[in-house]
Amino acid sequence: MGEQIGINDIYRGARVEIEGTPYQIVDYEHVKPGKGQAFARIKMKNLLNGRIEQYTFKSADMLTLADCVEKEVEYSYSYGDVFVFMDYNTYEQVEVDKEVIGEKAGFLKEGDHVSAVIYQGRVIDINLPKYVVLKVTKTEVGLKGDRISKATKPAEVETGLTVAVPIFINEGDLIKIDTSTGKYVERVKE
Amino acid sequence: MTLYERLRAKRDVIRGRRELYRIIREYFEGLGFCEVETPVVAGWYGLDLNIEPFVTQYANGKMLYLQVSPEFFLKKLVIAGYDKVFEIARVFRNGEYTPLHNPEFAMLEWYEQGKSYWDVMKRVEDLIVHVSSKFHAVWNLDLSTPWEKVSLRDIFREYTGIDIDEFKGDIGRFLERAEEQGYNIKADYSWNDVFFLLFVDKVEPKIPKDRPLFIYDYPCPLGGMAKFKDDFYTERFELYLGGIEIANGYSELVDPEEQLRRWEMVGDAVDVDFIEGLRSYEGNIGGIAVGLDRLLLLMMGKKRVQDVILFPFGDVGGIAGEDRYYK
Repeated sequence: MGEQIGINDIYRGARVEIEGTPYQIVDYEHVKPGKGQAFARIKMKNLLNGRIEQYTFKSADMLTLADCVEKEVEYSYSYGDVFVFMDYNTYEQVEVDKEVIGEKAGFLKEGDHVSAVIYQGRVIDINLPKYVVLKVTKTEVGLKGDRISKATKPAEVETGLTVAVPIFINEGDLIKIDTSTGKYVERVKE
Repeated sequence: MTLYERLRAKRDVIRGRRELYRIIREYFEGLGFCEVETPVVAGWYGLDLNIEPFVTQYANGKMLYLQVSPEFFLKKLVIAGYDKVFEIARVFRNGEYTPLHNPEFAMLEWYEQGKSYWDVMKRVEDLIVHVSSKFHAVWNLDLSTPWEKVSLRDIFREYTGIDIDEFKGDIGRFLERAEEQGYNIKADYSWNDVFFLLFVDKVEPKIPKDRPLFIYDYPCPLGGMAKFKDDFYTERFELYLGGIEIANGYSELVDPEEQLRRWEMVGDAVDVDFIEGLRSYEGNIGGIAVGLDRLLLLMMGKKRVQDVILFPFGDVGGIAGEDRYYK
């Protein structure tokens, strides 16, 4: 059995294993009914099929942390519902289902390096770098002397993701985006 | 927000709490209740194995506990002949810190001579309807009386498909039944563990959010300080308001031998004065504990008890590390 974690110590993003299935903690709520002991209702993503499931545990229970390894890979290309990465130590190709990538696809461009999380020989998640730099492909020209309070506008970047950016950003600009929030950070000079 | 910004934002909370306490005091004084103050520190803390007390020490080394409820003092006053008493008390429960728990909190308790849990249900219904008519509450609850009552057996059976009656004396089969429903039952789980696992998972989320609900007649392992109704159920009830557990009431256990048996089962210091008092006491006592921070949070439309407490535990140096509920 792998390393254990107490229910009171769980955190969002922790990967655990229940009866052979890997899960990632999405959210949790501690509850304590009158005359009863403490429990936690935990929302978890089943990392094999991407579904969100809810479980209730006693706070005194322990969960087993999923025994995962991480491997640096480079994103090559995608076809259909499959994303293809290359392990640049072995040059092996690693194929990953679209469901596993989920919304992270919006931060991936060809040639990017990410780490693939591998559980029992299978990629169950990818870890993005904290920031990515992407090129703006579509945005309206910001009006000069705009007096309305809203100083942002939508911009589409090369991966298809839409980000709120300051009005001075133009098509062709490179912008730095925080992958945990999906928010614009700053303009980057080439 | 900084502490000072949070405090400035709580002006409405100061007003709300003062108003709530004023209405409660007027209500009870109008009924001839006597308001009392009881100790916070004492040599025992009660019978609830799921409540962890704050422990302290007298100068001579004697272990003392911050009170988790003023109930024993209030019941002693009833035994002494003060037939209607109430207190707005500060109580302490160690390790309970969630959006609905602050380790130090405010509790309204009252005890009445000669009353049963049905009378107490009527009284708390009357009190909250009264409070609601005087306080400009923002809650969206249908308080029309009489409030709905359901036995624990019925609501448990409705949402879990399990009839507790079938498993009265058979822990093994109860656990097996839960396992058949897909729960991972560990070897060390007790009857209580499995009951609450199912209750928290299946029943509590179904409790109505738009009106009050009384759940009554809890099985004896969950009876607390309630008297027996029959050989298995006790005269205990819980009041849920807007889906939140707000009060717990009893026909108080006044049988001194059974009372002593429950204290000895827990094994900690026994409140001898209380047991002795019951030996000479005739009649029933009805009593209840109402969580005032939760009542206030509901009335003021807030989300967490920390929103209605001026200095929640995270602002008194109580939390080590990040305060994940409040800041």
